[in-house]
Amino acid sequence: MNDRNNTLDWFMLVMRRDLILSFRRSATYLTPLIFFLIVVTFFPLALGPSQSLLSSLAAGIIWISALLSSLLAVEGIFSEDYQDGTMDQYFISTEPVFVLIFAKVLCHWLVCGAPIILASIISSLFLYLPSGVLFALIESLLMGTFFMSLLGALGAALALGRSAILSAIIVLPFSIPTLLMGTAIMTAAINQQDYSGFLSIMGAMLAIGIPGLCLLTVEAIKLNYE
Amino acid sequence: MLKVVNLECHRSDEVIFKDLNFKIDRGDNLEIIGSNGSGKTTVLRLLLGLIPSFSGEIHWSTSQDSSKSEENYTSCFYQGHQIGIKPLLTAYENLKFSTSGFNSSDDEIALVAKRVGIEGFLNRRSSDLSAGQKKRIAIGRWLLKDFNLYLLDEPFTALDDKGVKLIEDIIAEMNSRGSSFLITGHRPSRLKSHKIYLDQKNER
Repeated sequence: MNDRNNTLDWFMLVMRRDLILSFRRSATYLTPLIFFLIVVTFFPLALGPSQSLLSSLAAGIIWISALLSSLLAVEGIFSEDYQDGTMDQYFISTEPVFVLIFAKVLCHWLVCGAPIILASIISSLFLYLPSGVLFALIESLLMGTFFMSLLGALGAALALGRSAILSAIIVLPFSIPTLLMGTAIMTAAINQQDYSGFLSIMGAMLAIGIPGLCLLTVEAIKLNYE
Repeated sequence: MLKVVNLECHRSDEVIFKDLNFKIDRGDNLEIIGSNGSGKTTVLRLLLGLIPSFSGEIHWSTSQDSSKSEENYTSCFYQGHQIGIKPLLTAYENLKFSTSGFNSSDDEIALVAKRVGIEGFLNRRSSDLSAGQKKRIAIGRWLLKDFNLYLLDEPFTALDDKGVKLIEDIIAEMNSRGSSFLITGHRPSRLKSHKIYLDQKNER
C-alpha cells in the first residue's frame, strides 16, 4: 500500500468523522455562533445607537467578538478523543500525528469559524460598518479565525483534563498579533489604503502557524502521556 | 516478533513491576494476568510507546528472521480500556472510521458485522447499544485488517458466554493466519497461551 495515500486516507477519515460528529451534536456549531451574536449585540446596547460612534468601532467589535467566540468553541476539541481512547490510536498509528491534528482543527474551523464569518456579515449591518470594507472584513476574518482555531487547539491540548478557562488564559495573549493585523487591515480598508501587505503578513503567520502550531499541539498532548 | 528483557517501570518512586521477561512469536498468544493496579495496562502502553519512561529492553522484529530487530513497534493493534466507540456514530460508522476499517469496503464491514453478531444494528446509534454490543463492535475492528500483533486490554469484560466463545474462536482463527495476541486479564482464560502472573511473578 502506498504510504502517502495512507496518510491522506487517515486525514479524510478524521475529517469525515469529526464533521459527522459535529453536525449530530448541534451545540458545537450553534454555541459559538450564538455567543458571537450576543456579544456583538451588547455593544450597541451599551454604547447607544449613535451611527458615527458604532461605525468607527464596528470593525474592532466584530474582530474581538470573533476571536473570543472561536476560542470558546475550540476548548473541548481533544477532550472526547482523549477520554475514549481514540487519541491513543492516533499515536500508535504510523502516520504523522500532526496531520491528524490539522484535520481536527480544519474541521473545527469549518464548523465553528465559517458560521462566525457569516454572522459577522449580518452584524456588520447593524453596527453600520462602512459598506466598502465588507470584503476586507471577510478576508481578514477568514485567516484570523483559522489562526485562532490553531492557537486554541494548542491551548486545549495544554489544558487537557484541566479547567476550560485555563486554555483561554494561555491562548489569549498569543492572539494579540492576529488581532493587531486584523484591525490594521480594517483601518487601512476604511481609510481606502492598500491593505494587501497586512493580508500577506497574516498569510505568512498562517503558513508558519499551520505546521508549527500543529507540531506544538502534538507535543502538548504528549505531555498528558507523562 | 517481540522480545522483552528485564522490563521495569516506576511511577512516582513506586515500582509497578520489575524483571518482566517475555517473548512473542508469530501466531503466539501471551496473557498477562494480574489484579487491579498490578500494571497490566502499563505494560501494554509501554510497549506502544505511550509511556516513555521505563528501563529494560524491548526488541521488535518485523521480518521473519528475528535477528533483524527494530527499535519501534510496527503494525500493532491496540484496544485499551476505553474502546473508542463514539456514542453519536452508528455501529457501521464506528467500524468504518477506525484504524483498521478506513480502507474496508461496505461488503467487508457487513461480513465482519455478521461474524460478531451486530448485523442487526449496523445503522443504530452506538448510544442506543449495550456495553456488550459496543464491545462486539470493538471486536469487529480486529477483523477488518490483519495486524501482526494485537494488544488487548481486558477484552473479555462486559461480554456474555457467547461473546467470550466468539473471542476465543476469532483468536484461534487469527493465530492460524499468523497474528499474535497479547492479552491482559484478571484471571486466566481458556486460550492456548503462555501466561505471566504479574502479582506473584511466577512464570508458568
